[in-house]
Amino acid sequence: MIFTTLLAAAAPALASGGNTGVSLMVHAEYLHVGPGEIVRNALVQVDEGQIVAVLPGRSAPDGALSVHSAHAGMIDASARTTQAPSAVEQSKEIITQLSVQDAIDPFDPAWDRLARTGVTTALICPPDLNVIGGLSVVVKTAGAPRLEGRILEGKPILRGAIGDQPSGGNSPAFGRPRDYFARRPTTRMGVEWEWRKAFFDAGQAERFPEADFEGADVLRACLKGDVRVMIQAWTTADIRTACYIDEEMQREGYGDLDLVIDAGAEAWREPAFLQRTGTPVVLPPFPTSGRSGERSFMPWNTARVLKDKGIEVALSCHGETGPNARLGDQAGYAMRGGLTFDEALAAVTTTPAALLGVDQRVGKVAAGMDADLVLWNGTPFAATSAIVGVVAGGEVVLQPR
Amino acid sequence: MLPFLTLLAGALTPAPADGAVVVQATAVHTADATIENGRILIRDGKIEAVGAEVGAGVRTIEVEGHLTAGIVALGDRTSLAGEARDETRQVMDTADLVHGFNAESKDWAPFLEAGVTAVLLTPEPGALVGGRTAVVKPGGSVMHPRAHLDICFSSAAFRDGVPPSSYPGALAMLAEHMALGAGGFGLVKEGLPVHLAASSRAEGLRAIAFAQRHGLKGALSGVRRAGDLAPELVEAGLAVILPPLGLGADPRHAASAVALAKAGVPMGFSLDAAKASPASLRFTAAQCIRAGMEPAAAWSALTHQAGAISGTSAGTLAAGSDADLVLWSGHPLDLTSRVERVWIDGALVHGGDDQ
Repeated sequence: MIFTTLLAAAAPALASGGNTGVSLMVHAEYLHVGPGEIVRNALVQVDEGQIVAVLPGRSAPDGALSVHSAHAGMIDASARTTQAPSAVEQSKEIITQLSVQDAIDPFDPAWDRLARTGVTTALICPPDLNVIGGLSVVVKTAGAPRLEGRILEGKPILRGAIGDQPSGGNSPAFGRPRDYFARRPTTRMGVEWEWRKAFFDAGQAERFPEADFEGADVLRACLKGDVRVMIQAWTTADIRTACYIDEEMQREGYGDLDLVIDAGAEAWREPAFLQRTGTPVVLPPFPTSGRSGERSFMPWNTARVLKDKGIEVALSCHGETGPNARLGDQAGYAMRGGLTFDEALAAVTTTPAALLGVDQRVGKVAAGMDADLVLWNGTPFAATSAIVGVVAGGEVVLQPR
Repeated sequence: MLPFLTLLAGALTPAPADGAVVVQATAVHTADATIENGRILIRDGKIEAVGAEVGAGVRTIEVEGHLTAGIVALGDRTSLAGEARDETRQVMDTADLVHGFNAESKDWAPFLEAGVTAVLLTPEPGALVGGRTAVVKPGGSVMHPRAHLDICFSSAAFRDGVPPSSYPGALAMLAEHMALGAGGFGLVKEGLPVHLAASSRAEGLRAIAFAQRHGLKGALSGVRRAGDLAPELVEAGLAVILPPLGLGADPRHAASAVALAKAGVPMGFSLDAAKASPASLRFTAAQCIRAGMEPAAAWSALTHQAGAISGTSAGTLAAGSDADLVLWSGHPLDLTSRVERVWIDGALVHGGDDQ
């Protein structure tokens, strides 16, 4: 923080050197402006939170942050910071009209931890205790002190889950039901039924307005493709179910869901479903034991297998900031499993940016984009390299040393 | 307790024909001044005049020490026993907490011993809207039967198996009630202040945003680090009720109180759900002063500012206010000073037997 102040103080001096309106300069020997695009000895000029210019073939001027490599701030499309049960309304198993935004804590130290590990943009979803938990929100992990100043307007994303999480903890009613837990699904098939019923009812209500219900408009927007549907589905059975629902809605003439699978650990098992429905996948962190959530199995080459089938892949660390589990580490693991460097970079920058509909602002290093940069002391994602600096919204959140 | 004391005081001090009496002390502290050998003219339980010369010819009780207004505790449940929370509904906007008030409870004695003469009774968290708060005098009368509508923004409002179960759900439910505008929500729309209970800063922000969205006035209660929300509080025109600071309290909590005072946010202290002794209020003020708060600001948070937050003149030593007075052996913010006497409505209810 003190360093940031010093840098700010240095800004007028920089400006007098001819770079008017530049508050921060970053010099990288290798600047990965986007997947497959390297600029050597690049100087990135930043002002008012945005990248002003990317200049090739420069030497590092005084006052610039100078590092070996840099790329755009990373984007975690499943950051999972707001996971307390109080973040999702459980009194109904299908909640579409409420947003997790009302449950986010801007003072959560998790934001700073994420920013310092290079994750500068994150999708925050309601926890998967409901079948459909509500709307998600894309936020910057650093910058404005209040949430309102950190929200990115992307494509709206409705979040839900298929699997055993939405039914976990519910119990069938014996005798007179005392609370809503007695009504909620207790099995996978119950969860699947809730999904199909929600979309079916919303579609029917369009034909029969008297059958309309609260939140049906959001479901209909999903059927029209205006709202993206992100479903947590770890196992291949659950991924299959999600794709079947998408296909069924099309077949029945209700619409075409814009589906994304989150935590698709077993997406590699039956990629044909994802190919057929054009569904991208957000992968959970690579498990060291092979076993991921809900007893799914996720090998190191999962991302490679999906890419080979033409399926878009984004990587996620589920908001983990501990050593060896960060998003930068995940990119390295994906490369160990066969992804090329550029594919790995895309999986943590441009692909999630496009998935969330915020690629006009984040995901690449270019003039006019948000000044989010990850600075490395060596080749990014390599086991021998480390993130030594992070710039988020033009602010140095981790000072290179 | 009180009727007995009143009778006793009555017996010891035969009231003059016109019911007036002057109490003269070494120092009298009003909201903005200290009067040496100040005099307070009391008639029919009210303060009629304050000054160095007032009440000439009226029977005078001379006492040694510092005479102040009584301390105001904002947030307590003494004497309510099991009556502070009703679980029949999540929204109890028409319930008045004052119906649970028991003036006879022996639990009021420590309040008088600590110089507390007014208490804001607040519902126990556990419902989205817990009822309407009341201001009472320890062991005495009701000052304000309906001070605020209590709305809970903390997770304590979520009861297993009953909607709402979440922050977004709670906000949606509150918005629905505000739109309907029935019962307590109707009163709030007509100007009844709100008591916004919260615990974390994020909850505090949501409460402030809610108040602003609906143009509500009142106080945010329970956010220990509310100092970080000072800009929002100033903009919304809300006051703050802070939980007391115990021994070894997180220094950020006292710093937060100091920041609020500097930002000019009206402030008072609660007894944190009756978990703290009434004596902790003065200790809290001392902690705030140690952290950098102006003593005058700390004292007003204990007294007249807190009274204003409760919607009453409690804590105000001025003509027209109830004669609720405390005599201290030394300066009231000096923790080595002790309470010598307490008068409520002009009647001696604690200490002293020489009137």
